[in-house]
Amino acid sequence: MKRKISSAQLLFSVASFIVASRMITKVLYSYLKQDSWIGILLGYLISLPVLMIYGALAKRFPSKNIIEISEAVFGKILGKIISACYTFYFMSLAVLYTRSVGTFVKTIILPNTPMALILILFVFICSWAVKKGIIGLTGCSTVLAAISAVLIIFKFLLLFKELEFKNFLPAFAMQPKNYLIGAHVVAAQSLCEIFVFFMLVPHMQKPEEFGRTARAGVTVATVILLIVTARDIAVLGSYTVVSTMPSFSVLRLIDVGDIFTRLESLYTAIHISLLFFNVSILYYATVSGFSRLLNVKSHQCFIHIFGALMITGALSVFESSYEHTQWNSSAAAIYATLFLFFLPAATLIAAAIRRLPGKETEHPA
Amino acid sequence: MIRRIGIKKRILAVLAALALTSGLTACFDRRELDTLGIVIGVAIDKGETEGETELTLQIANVAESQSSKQGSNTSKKEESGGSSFFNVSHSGKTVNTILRDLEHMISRRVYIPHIQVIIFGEELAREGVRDSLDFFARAPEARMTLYVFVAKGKAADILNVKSLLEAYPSTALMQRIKNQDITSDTPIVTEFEFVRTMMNKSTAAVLPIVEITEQKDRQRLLVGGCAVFKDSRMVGELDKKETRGLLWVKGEVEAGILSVELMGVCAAAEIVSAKSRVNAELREDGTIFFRITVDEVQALGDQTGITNLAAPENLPALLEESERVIADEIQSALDQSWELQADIFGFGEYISRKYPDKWKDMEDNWDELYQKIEVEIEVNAKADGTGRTIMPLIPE
Repeated sequence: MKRKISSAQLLFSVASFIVASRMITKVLYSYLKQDSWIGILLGYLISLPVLMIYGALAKRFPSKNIIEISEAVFGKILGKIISACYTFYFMSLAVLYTRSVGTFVKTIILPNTPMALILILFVFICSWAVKKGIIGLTGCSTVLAAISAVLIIFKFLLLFKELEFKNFLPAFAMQPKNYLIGAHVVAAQSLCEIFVFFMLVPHMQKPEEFGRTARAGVTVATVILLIVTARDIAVLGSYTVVSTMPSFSVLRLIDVGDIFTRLESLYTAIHISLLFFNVSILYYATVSGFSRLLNVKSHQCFIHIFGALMITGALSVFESSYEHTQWNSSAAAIYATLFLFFLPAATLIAAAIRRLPGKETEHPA
Repeated sequence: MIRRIGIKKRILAVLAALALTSGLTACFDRRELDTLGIVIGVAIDKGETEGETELTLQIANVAESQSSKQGSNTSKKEESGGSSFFNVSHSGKTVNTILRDLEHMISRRVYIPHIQVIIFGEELAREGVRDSLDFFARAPEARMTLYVFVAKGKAADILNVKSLLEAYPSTALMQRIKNQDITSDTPIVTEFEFVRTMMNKSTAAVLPIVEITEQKDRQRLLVGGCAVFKDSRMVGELDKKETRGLLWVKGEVEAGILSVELMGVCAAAEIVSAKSRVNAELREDGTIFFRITVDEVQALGDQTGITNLAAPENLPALLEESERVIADEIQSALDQSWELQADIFGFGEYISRKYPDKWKDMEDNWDELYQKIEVEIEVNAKADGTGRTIMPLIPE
């Protein structure tokens, strides 16, 4: 009997997956400034119905991943096309996360090292994780989530004297349009990205609990994101907008009695571990989706091919980090919405119309 | 699990791990300690050529400062001709250009994360510091927890004033500003705080002033008062009294001495703690009204004469006089801010927080509106202790 993912493990995986995407708070700041925390709450609210779609799909088609579901719903040809879309989306996300590792290491730690070298090392480790078992990796997520939560609280305490709560005022001062954009960014570029865990549903102990567990994980992550955003705003104030990495800038300000200072290595370590987790999950989703597309039983043979693709992709996707920022703050949310909302919603509707799954596969409700 | 892995695979795993970690040794970015010129202080002045900036770096001579700490071998020190630091200057268009040019002049790579102070020359400050600060806010390795000053005269001269106690002039200056919280005559401003205020449209930022004084043929550094910046340009100064007036309102007074005179005696009231509140109000007749409330707790530090100021019947008078002194300090800061047309208190921010909608119309002509604001100052002093004595040293 193969090992299966427990619901608790999935919950923590979802949470740490989202916490890793907290760089998008930077995009949020540019739209909502001191009101960014509202954007996170709104984003949480609009992502709930989307998560319910995922939950409903998982309930309807127990123990199937999203590729199998879309093939079941849309038939051979259209199903394959849609599956290819999903696989492409997972791949593109993996590439973007890999790229952000490269940018992060290059700006913060090793400015002169070629990005290719950093990425080769990074993707190599991820490929190892994918090869040796993604199930075990989700087990690690408990530790990852715990460490990052503890660190975030620890940093919060160390920064206590820097917090200026008047930075939150005036509240509700932005244009309504900006709140919508902000909420959309949070939902599409962070919270709903956990859609990728749909590829792990067949490995769950209780696949029917996918929706509920994912919602719980997203809730935990939202709380963490709220703490991070609130801290950044309270400390940085009007400086938030110019900072490349607000959360990192905040950390560099820690100075408690000249002893607790220069703590950014803590952030660096946890940030890279979290991104490793994200890329591995997406990497797995890509290769397993692709092998399913070609009806190949094992995905092992594709791992290295896609690893190479990810490295070259990450190296060439943006000319500069500025372009990356531009992408994050403009097109990314709309791009993601197609895959995270429209396709799953269409799948659910089509399944309902066609009364799928049919009698022979129906599970006892 | 482990039992099942063959020896070949294990060797392979170890080799792979070694190969991977060797990629992380940062060969491209290696920086060894003996190749670094650790910059501990920076002075920025206006260059002699128009449009140029003169940058002076104070670089720590780590080996030398250690041998001088051991102290015994003075002859060796003379032989090496060195002090524990050296200063090097160069001019150019931008800070980063100058830093690279400086590499031609010193044997080591300039290393900036340990800068303790940045000093702006007054002339440069009056023309604007935004361009010079850009590098220090942008460079990935730079830190924003360092302290920023404005020098009266040339900033580079400040870095030449040796301290008797500290190895480096920069450290001496940094220690001095860190201790200012016991007088509250000088604002303590880190680069980050300065930048954060500079990013605010309506509030004027302040920086402490440092100057050189001659005392018995010895140069000393004197820190006190502050320079006021509007749109990154220095527009004027506050003296010590006005500075404390500003700090009262900002709630940054932590300790200090209030000199009061009453009943024919002088006394020093020690500030134990202070809190401030600013309440903004847009009245219907169009006046912009602020109420500043300062709650101060004080102890009697010392006094002259024989009238016992700590006695219950005299205490109210002492407190009242202290309140008057504080209010006077605040008023003088206000007057000076009107004179300089600079909203040093951040009154605009109070309006923007409380009346965000109306602020949008006021924001652009805040400079004019600021001249017309009405301010009410309310000070409440409370007594807290008289030290180890309860009365002056007089026989009963």
